[in-house]
Amino acid sequence: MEIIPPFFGIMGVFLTIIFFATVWYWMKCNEIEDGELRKAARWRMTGHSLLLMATWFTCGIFSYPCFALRPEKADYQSAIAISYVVMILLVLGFIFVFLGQRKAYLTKLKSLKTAQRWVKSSRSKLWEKCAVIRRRTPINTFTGKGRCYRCATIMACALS
Amino acid sequence: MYHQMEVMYTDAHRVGLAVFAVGVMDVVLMVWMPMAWKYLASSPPSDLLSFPLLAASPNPLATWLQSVFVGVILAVKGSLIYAKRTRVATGLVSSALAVFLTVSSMLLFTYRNYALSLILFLLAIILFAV
Repeated sequence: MEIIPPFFGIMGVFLTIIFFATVWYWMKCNEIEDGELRKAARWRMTGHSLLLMATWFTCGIFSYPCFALRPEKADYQSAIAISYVVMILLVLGFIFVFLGQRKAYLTKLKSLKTAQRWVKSSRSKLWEKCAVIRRRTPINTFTGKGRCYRCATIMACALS
Repeated sequence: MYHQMEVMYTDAHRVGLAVFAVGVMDVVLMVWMPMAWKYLASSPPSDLLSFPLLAASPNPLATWLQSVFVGVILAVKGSLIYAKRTRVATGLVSSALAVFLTVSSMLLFTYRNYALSLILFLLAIILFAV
């Protein structure tokens, strides 16, 4: 199969643009995120940066300066050395992405548990008295509304 | 007090954006400009080192290699300063140190001193990540 250098050049430029666009939006988003989620995003961004560096070095193995795809001018000694760097960058990159993802998941889980605890502890308060039969009726914590089981009157939570 | 905080806020935004822009320009200039030049000048495929910026460098290969690292580090560090994740002065110093370690690492890599190069590179990564 023939090698088409402009294809790799154009795709490489596109890849770099996408990376910088990712950094741009991360930068904008970082201000409005929560403390722990910000940290998680930072770990992930570090991982993505390392993965970009690894990708860029992979390019170096196959074209300038190692030319692994062109045996007539290939420098395999440099290619071997750069392969080690690529592997280290890939491993570090994926470790950072993993750590970021784990942190984001744990943060979400923690906030979910806190919310569940809050709902559980405040469940007793989410009752409304039906005006018709004068009996307490449970209020759905998600919709903020409840229906009297006797007269089917719909009641809204006083807190919502 | 409010005015002081507003000034600090604007400074962080400006400095962060400037550092980010330097990082982007570094990558564009050092990686993609020689490529564009190669196609514009229709030079032979292996003749990238005669590009003015690379040819002027004492060690073209190291210059070539360091560019993407330096660009990425500056862009990400600039974003951190912009988002006020770090103080402006601390961010600038740590960016400069990370870039210095990366460039030293790349130079050592070119001179085939792989062990020291790797140590410096790992230090740069730690500085980049914290």
